[in-house]
Amino acid sequence: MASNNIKLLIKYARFFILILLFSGFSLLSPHFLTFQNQMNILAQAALLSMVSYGMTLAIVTGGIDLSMGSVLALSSCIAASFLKSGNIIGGILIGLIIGFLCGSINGLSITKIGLSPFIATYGMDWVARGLAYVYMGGTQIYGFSAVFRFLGSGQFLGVPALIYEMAIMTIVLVFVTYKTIYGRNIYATGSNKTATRLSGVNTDKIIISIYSINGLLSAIVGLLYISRLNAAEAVIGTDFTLNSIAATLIGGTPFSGGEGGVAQTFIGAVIMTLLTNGMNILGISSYWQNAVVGFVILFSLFIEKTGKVLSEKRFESVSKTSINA
Amino acid sequence: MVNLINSKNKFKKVPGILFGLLAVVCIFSITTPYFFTLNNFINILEQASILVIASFAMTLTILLGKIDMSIGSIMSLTGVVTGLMIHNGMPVWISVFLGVVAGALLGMFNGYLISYQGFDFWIVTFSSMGIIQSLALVITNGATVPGFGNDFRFLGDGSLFGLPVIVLIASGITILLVFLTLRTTFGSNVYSVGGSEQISKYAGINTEAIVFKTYILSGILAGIAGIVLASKVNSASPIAGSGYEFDAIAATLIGGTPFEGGRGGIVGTLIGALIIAILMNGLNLYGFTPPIQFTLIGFIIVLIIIIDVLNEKYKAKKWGK
Amino acid sequence: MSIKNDVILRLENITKEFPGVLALDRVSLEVKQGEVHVLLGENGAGKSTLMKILCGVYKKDGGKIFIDNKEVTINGVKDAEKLGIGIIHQEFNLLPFRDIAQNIYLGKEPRKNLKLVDVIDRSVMYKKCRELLDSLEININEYALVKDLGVAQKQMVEIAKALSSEVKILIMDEPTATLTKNEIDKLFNIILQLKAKGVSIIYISHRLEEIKIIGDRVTVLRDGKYIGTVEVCDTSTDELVKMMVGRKIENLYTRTYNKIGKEALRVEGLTLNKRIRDVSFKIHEGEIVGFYGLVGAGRTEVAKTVFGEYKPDKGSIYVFGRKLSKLTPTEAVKNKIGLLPEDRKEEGLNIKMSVKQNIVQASLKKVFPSGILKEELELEISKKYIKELNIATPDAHKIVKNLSGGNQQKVVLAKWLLTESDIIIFDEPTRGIDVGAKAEIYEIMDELAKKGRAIMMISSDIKEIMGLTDRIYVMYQGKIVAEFDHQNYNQEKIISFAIGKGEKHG
Repeated sequence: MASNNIKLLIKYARFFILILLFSGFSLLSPHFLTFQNQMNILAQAALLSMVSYGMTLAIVTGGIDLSMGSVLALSSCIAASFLKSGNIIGGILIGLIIGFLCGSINGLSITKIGLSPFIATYGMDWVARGLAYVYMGGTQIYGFSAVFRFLGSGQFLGVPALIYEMAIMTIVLVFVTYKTIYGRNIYATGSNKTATRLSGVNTDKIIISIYSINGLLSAIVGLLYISRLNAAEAVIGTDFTLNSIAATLIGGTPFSGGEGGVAQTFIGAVIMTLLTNGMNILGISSYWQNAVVGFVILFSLFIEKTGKVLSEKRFESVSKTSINA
Repeated sequence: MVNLINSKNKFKKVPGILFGLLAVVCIFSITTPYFFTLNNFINILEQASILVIASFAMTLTILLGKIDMSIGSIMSLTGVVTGLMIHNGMPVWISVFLGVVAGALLGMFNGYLISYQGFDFWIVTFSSMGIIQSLALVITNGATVPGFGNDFRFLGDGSLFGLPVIVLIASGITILLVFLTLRTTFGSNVYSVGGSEQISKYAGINTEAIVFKTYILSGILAGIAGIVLASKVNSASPIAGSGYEFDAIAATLIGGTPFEGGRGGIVGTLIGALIIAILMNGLNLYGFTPPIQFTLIGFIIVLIIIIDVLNEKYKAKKWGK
Repeated sequence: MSIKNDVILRLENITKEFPGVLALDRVSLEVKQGEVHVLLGENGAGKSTLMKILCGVYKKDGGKIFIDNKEVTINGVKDAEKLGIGIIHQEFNLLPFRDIAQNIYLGKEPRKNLKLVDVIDRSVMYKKCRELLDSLEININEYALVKDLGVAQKQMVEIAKALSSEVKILIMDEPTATLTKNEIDKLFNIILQLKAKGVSIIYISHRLEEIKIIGDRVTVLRDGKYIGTVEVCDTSTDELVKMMVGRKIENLYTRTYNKIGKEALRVEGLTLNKRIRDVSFKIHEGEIVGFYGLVGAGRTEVAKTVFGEYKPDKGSIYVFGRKLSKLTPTEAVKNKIGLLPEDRKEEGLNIKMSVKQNIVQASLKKVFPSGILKEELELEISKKYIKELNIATPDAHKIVKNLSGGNQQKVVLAKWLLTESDIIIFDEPTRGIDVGAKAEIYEIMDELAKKGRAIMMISSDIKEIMGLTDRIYVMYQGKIVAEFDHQNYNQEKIISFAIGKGEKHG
């Protein structure tokens, strides 16, 4: 049946896109297939994927986190001043703590105050970015110690350290989300919060913890990012938010929550990195980037909807009015 | 029997806000010498005019129970589109008209995806915010479109009958929108769809069309705001409008239109936008650096949103639902 | 009137399917001009669905609709309105923050003749509204906001809304459910006036005594099927009941009254801002205790407050004599309380998740003490309950959404059996469930009581609640107004307390 073919196509759409992009760029540019460029792409994907995992967790619970880019900037800027003074452990710790706190505040304002996740995290986006500007006062901090620089730009056995870090993070998060009670409760909360709460799960706690983890992930990526750049300033990380939404949705985690997951997002992050990397190689202005990313998000919504329509084709959905006579 | 309530319900919330307005004015008048001067008031009104128009764009979508995060980007894009056309020798009035049309088309894009495709309004307008911002950067190649001639500057900087044109434009739009929302079937339907899409459907209202049209209107208003902004500052930056969506949300909420939609309205938003403009003006007079201003305003707005949401919650409890 | 025998509306073989349920199975109906045609049936019989098709809210899957002997197509609310069909919905369809006139004329506001935009003619609208309200003797200001009205006033506004356009056929879906005696009389007067004008009324109700007063003919639906049409004057109430519930009525309720054990749940002075007022009660082991009352009487609120979902303003809850210090759903589950909510699909189940995931959801920590999920164990447990409760599903991996109502309810029940709850709250456990599954659920409840579980049962079905419970608390406007032991059950008395007239009857 034709609709079955389309269903299959939709199911594996992201793999087709991945293959298409990969082969397309290989043909278009001789640089693309070099080991150097491949490693570079994976290292970039490493940073994006770790932020996107956080975004995925938020979207799985039926929310979103628009503050990740700014929290990343704030935590790494403050950490940078400690790092610069030679206190590596202290710098890393303070960065992580700030990220965690920002995330927890998001979680609390969503659950305890009742703000919509969009508004709560958009507000945090403003405040964290503003504080980063105030803290840096328009300056840059650059030139970190070699030990710290290894985290984001070092290599081990010819492979960037970032790739090992991403691998560890991916394995941990896949295990936690698919194999533990906590993971099950994340999905249950996202698919129906009320029913999950009425099964005795403290859904507020789940949501607060998710946003706190997001803050932590933002801080981790922020530290790796400044380690890779060897510099920190208040403007860094602005593209991460939109990119990570795109990576999550194109990876196959629907915006409606309760489905998808971290493993899918890994594919999404690679797709997004290939896209931006390919655009650079082809010499397309970086100003196009957000437009492409935005269209990827809207395209994902179309795929999601088509998939849903096909699986529910038999029954036209009227409204959610129950059938009581 | 209930106490018979008079017809002035829609203005019920306004006195509270007016009090807030008064309070803000008093504080700044006492603490800064320059604040309470005619010059500064005209300055505030001019500053506020753009925010007022942008906030109306936001209010209409919030009345529907939705939102439009792309307002700031639409302002940027329409500003540079108009600016570039003027610089390429297009007559000013045609350029302005086409700029507004661009705003309408962008609103149509949002509206189509939200109403006829049924996509989530947050994600749609947040994505289009990125897309539109990106387009503004692409067509200007990241550069600001520089100064204009006097005929275009008349919109944002001129005066007519001794009043700034920009203030007259904002006033005209206010009157039109008050009429549209309170006296026409379209306006009534916007409130109804915001109150409950299902009940509106049951009453035979074409809710999709209402949502679609509202976003177009929102796009048009954002477009006007963007063009006037370009005229006022005598340049069109591709990021000129960014952040306006945030101030506009705050103005709408302060003005008594909650996120749930279905109540509140234009008059409240007018006052809400004035309050925000005065706050910004005051902080500026205190001599804070732009980053600190930016952060403080962010804090204040977040605080306002939190208070508003808590207040709604409290009221909902009082009504026993 | 002489034209009284003309058939104005004919429905032929109307069929409607929802995921997992055949809501209407070739149902036919004939309505004559100027008659009050009662549509009778239990919850889930298909009455509301049929009427929603007629007024354009749902699309039918099969069948034909004739008005004045001409076939018509109804694709939306506007179509129905043009054909002169009006409806008063069961749930309120009023916008709380708009005024009465705006609500009554929603979508059909009087307009001024302007070319550019449709301008509402406010003076005409409010004047017409006042006249309409006066003609119905509704004493409410047309400028008042709906949120400030009481329930009965809202109901009257709904009626006015339906009558604000020219209607030939008026559907009333349980219009008296929330009205007082006085208001019901007023409504019946209005119905008589409409009849005299030749308007046909389709009246949905399951209050048999009303049918006798107001109805001309009765059509009975059962489980989505047409059972028959009879004249009210030649039919006895017993006959109607028989048509409504079928022959299974005698053996539907299995109840073996057991020895009552010790006190399991005690609630004292529970108050929840205006919705529950000073409610106190007790439930013992082995006891099924019913809560009866009108919609909005506060029964569901009591259940959800006991379960910790709502935070009470006052009051304490004791489980086996121990006072609960924290009231949250998590605490309730820890204290072995289970809740089968009224809204099964939204609150009882994660319908997007599988049968097995739903069954273990409340017991994850018990089943997997290490915190790590084990697929095989989960499957094994689910299979046990699927078998035990006779859940009709191909396997435990099936998404719950695709199960029938009865089987969904059994999945919710399995969830609380797995937690080994001592106290189980059933809120409208059989709503929208077919007769076969109902009997099974009754049997399981009886079984549970035998095993010494304490059961709180909320139901609007008076037969069901009387057939199954040891005791009944009757609630009215947030208060418990009466308590009956099963030896003293008296249907009329229970109902009269529920509608707020208990004191007079004694």
